[in-house]
Amino acid sequence: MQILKVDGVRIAGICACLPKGSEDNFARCAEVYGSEERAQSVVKATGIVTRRIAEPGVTSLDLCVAAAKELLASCSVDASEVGAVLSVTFTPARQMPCNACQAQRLLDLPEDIVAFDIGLACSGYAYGLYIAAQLVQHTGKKVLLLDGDVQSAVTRRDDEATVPVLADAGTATLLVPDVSAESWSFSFMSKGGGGDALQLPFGGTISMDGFAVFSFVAMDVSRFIKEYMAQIGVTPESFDRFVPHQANIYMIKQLAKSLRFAPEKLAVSGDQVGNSASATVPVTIAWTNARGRLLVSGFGGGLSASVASVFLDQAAVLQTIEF
Amino acid sequence: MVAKERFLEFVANVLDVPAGEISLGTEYESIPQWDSVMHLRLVMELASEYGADIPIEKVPEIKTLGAFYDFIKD
Repeated sequence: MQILKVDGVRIAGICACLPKGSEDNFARCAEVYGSEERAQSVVKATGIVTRRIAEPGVTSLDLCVAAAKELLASCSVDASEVGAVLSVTFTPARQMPCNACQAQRLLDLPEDIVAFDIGLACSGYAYGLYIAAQLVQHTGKKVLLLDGDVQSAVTRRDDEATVPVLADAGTATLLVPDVSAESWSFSFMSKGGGGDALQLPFGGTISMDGFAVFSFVAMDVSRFIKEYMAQIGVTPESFDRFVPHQANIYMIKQLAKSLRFAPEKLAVSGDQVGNSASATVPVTIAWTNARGRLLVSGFGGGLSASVASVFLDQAAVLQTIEF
Repeated sequence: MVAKERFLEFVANVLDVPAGEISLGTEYESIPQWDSVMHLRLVMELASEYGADIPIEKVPEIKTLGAFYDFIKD
């Protein structure tokens, strides 16, 4: 296992932008399954009651830029102070140009900026944090990490596996240099052999083998996080909150239990807003006002997983807006 | 010791299938109602009904109703 460490970087704020529109999961599942009894089973098994869904035509770029504008204003940061903008998304507004380059234009960021997309799904936020942190260290400037997806645009309306869980969101995280900041550490894994379990072909819709993905989380991700904690010499008591990707609420509760986190440390937002891929981690941090030493973890498409120990102090701006 | 018949009746109710259509040898996905979502639902309902807390790492290994029964029978 590779442990990657970062010093001298602080999260100044996170803004989560959620679509105003939402789907009642029971009603929607009753449509998809053609049975209220089956719909009740699905809502109970997923733990997801409501999912936020973007209006047709709204893109991940729209949601992330809205979050970024709000965040920069709240942090009193001028666009000229930003040295890099990254975008974690597997549903960019267009295949080309990438979201990050368009965000530079829409946010009026300097042209001499590092800007690129990271094409990861549910594991992507910690990856984004790690790379953004590196850019803070190398540029000495503030870095914007955008993370968002509009999965509803690539979900088949009658797909029993994906409709009950997938949702939309866009987020912005502002990272700043700070020599006094607490250290962060990261680890990543990729199990490409299982990649067919969660696919989005070009021009197609998302397909998911729920059992294969669950098996990956239950066995590989559980073991991965345990090994990470052992390697960096921490226990669940070392953390104030555990913020996992909100794939399925029952599953993450069981994952937290397996990792021996006290139930109250598990941060949950997915029951109310759904599974918005990698954005669920920053959405959950903002939604639950999670602060202190956080263990964050993403897992999914790839198959890929990430884990990180990061610190969010009391001064950090955490906000949720709607689009 | 939980009787097999009672267990199968309970599972049939959760899966919404006739009890006569399932046995301890019934395998995952051999009946349409038993998919990944229902697999989790079974784990939850069995925990609630029988107090059997199946560790998440063990859940993917359960491939038959008999394997579920082994967790709750005592």
